Amino acid sequence: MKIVIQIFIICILAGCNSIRVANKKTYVFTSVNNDHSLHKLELSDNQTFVYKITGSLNEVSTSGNWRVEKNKLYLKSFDEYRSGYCKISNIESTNIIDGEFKVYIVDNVGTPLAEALIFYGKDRCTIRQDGIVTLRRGLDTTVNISFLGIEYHASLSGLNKRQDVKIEIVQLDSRKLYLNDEVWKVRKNMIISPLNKKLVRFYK
Amino acid sequence: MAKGGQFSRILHSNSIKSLKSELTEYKGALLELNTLKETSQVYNIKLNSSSVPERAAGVTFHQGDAIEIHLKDEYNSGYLSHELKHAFQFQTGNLAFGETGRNGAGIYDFGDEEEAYRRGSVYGDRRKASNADYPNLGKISLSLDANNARAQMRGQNLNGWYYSSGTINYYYIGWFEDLLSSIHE
Repeated sequence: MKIVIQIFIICILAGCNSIRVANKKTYVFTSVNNDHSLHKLELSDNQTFVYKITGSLNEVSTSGNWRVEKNKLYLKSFDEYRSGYCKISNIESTNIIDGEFKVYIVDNVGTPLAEALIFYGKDRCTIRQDGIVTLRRGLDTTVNISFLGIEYHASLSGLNKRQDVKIEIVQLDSRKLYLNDEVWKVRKNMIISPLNKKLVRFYK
Repeated sequence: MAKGGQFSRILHSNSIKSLKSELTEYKGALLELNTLKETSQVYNIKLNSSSVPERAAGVTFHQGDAIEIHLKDEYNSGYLSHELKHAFQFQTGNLAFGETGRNGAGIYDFGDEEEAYRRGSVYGDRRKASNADYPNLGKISLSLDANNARAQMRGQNLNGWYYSSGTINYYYIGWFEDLLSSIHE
């Protein structure tokens, strides 16, 4: 009888150690009641997830795909949740001046990013309302842009030196979180984030 | 015996340090309350508010021309002092609110939460700022006066005003006057 009970308990624990989502079912995990922020992770049977953190001044969310391997939960956000980076490309020059090039600095919808700070070589300047700054060629291999405390680095290598440059800044959006295949531990009915936030299974 | 005495001295010295640190917080709180009292900016305090998000004890947000400081339940000195710290951060150009006025944005950083939790702790709030609750916040201290932040937020508001039918992206102290002067430029 004792052996039967032990086998029964082992089976329960083994079953709880992996996440299996039944058809058309969503598994919900939330932070414990005495936490001052609500963390909510929903795992759907179509292998997508939604993760939200709601605090008083802070609200952040992400969504993407999940998978379980060897009792670890992997979360990878969709690309739209990425922010805080920049893209650089060549654009046709309208008026080439030897030894100089123009940099057009815009946000992700093409609006000039006025008042951004530019660091290039030993030069430092501020972007005008039209988003344009003129720089001398060859002083540095990267253009560094500072906007609202975030540094964006744009490498000039590989670009055509006879053309001007456009730098598109996808500003850091504090409402979005990007998880790049983040690994969470699975413990019975609990999952634990890399920052040690414990979320427990929520039963409706 | 000598070791025991040494241990007791260390404990004594640590409690003196801790008391001194608490005293600094109390003095700071008094000065900050006076600053908030004397400014023309309106700060409203409300108890038993339904505006406080689930699990949170209080919230500070921008609404109309005022800064609202709401607690979910009855008066609690720890929670109120936490929110009043955020109010003071707004007043002194260390905190801004985003488009809806409900969330921190722009110059809002992890240090703002650390300060607020530290303040709350001397008034009995046992909560702490943890990275897990604020994974999206930067660790570099930001303010209106550093790194051209004020001009950058003003520029974003101006863009919102012209290109996104009057959207205000950042509410910071003096945002309206800034926008008005930019429009007239």
